Amino acid sequence: MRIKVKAFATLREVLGKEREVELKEGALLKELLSPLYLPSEGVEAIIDSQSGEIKPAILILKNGRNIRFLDGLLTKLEDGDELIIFPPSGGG
Amino acid sequence: MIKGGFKGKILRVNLTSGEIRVEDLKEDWAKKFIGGRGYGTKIIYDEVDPTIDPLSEKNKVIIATGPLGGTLAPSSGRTMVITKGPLTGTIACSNAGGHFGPALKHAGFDLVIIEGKAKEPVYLWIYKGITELRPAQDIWGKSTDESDKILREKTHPLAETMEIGPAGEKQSLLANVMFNGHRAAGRTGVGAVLGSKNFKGIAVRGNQEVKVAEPEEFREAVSKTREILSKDAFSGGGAAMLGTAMLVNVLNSIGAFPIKNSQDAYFPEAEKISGETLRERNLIRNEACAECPIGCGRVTVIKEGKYKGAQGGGPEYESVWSLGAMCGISDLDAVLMANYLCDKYGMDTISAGVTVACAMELYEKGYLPQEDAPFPLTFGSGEALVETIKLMGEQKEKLGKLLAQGSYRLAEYYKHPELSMSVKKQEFPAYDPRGVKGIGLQFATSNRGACHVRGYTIAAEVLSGAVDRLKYEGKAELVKTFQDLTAALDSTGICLFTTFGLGGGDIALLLSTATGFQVGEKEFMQIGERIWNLERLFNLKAGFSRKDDTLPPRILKEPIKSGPSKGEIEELDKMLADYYKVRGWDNDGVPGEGKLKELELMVD
Repeated sequence: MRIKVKAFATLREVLGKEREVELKEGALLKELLSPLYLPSEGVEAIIDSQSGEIKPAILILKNGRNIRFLDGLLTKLEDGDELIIFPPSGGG
Repeated sequence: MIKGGFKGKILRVNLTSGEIRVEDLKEDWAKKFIGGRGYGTKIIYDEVDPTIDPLSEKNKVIIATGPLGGTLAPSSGRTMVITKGPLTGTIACSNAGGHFGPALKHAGFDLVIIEGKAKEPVYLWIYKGITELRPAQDIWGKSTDESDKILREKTHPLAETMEIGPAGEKQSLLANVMFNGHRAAGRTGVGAVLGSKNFKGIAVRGNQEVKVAEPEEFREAVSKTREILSKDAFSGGGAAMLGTAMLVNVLNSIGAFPIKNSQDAYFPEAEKISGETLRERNLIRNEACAECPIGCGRVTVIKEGKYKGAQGGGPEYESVWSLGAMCGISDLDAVLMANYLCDKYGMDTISAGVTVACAMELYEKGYLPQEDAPFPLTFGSGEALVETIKLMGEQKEKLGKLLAQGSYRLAEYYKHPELSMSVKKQEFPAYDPRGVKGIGLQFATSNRGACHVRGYTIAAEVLSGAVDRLKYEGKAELVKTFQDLTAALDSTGICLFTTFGLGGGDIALLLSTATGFQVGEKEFMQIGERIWNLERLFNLKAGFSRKDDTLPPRILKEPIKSGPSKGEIEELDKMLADYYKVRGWDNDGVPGEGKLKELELMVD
């Protein structure tokens, strides 16, 4: 299945603006967020290497929903999903 | 005796008599309300009848900084403008960054009270113990950036200035107060009140030190808070890189980015007006306010096309949204031009953009007849945007005069007030409550009409993701917490953006060590709650009630049509009663006696 991954702001430098990733059916978010599929610098920027968890205030959306309110890193991906990743943001 | 932070002096300027008096700051008020928004609100509450016409001589305007203004505390450049607001009729407090607040402190004053009405246009010059009203006829009519320049020529090249533009002079209800022709105390029409008083502005310069009560401890608190801000990924990097416009893609990606007068909440062309694109195409340099390690400000230029060469400050996130997406416009150059024009006229970019969007919908639906429109007011047209802003700023033709009164009065005139995206007649900022539930409760209950910075729940509902944006549970408490924190913070003189890194405890520590007051996090939050309730009491006396704590019917009834929040509406009723309960108010939104006693706010 194909998943679209978009990054914004400072993360574009390490993840690129937009890419499509080919994954096996039923893959979890955790599997996608690894150096197998994404630049290792990008993975380092979003995953805490010690705990393996998403770094604080990194915002990951699956089709517009924050994955913290889905199943976090265990969120199941489906063909055609759009994954959007933001660095810590603020303003207003 | 206040040991530090405050200068302890207030300047009272009576424009009717021309008398200028220096008064002592009241220590008991400073302890209860701090400075800035809190102290200013207390003055307005005590001295201004809430039922008056805001544009009458009886209204007063407080220009205030707080005890941290002029110190080394991070991001301590804020200046507050407090009055009874003409756009809403509520208490109004609008604030700006820059360097004016610290300069006022260095000149020896915590705040200035402007009252009465001058016969002819005047400005105030404050310098080394001199305070004088000077004629301003030759500056009247000038844009805010020209006014800033002339004020400095007439006074001191390094003076900091505050000024209104043509919009304020003509008493547009969207008029703001500008600082150095660039930073805006944007909302609630505060500029119109100064215009009604024939008061053009202030130039100030000073060289007094701002002493703090506990210098060692204060220095440590400053180092600690600066370190937190510089290590934080947003305040220490992202903010400087992209400015507040970084939020365009964030809010659009969750489908809470209103477009075409909130007819939908997802903009397929958002990338064209994003912070990322702005940086690539138009950014000249960053600009930081006094003592600010964050530096989110932008100075931009238009490099090509018919507006080529135009440059100015901004735009902020709110402005690229209101002048861009809300009008269906992805032409960034037109958005920049409209933003620069708003600054020159001295007009709130948020309300101006949302009013244009409202006019466009009225026009497209046929409610605003073609004979009233000098050109087609079509969504998506950058040219129509720029020309409409000119009509509004100069109040040309029938439509220009209507536009200058804001979207509610415009839509009401054309018999469709439901098309005004406003609360208490003040226009929405850049978040769709249908897609972020708590911010809708904040808009509905904000003491100055629709507003995001009275209680920025977006930080928790969207940015940190601490709570689910689509749930209603817990939002009443969340809104109260943000409202109280912000009311206290707005009274210290430092910027709201520090709260992306700092907590109430950190700010309370800065405040305590600067002033010598013993304020912990709990007391700090209670001061905020006290200010919030005092504002509410003013509004109740002005005639506002539960029926005004609501949202436009579109937000309550029309589901979002497309994007990630498709199908959502805002069910305000699921939160409002809870909110009153959490606040200790009755079912009509009136603070109970117990709450007022607890907050030491006696009803007279």
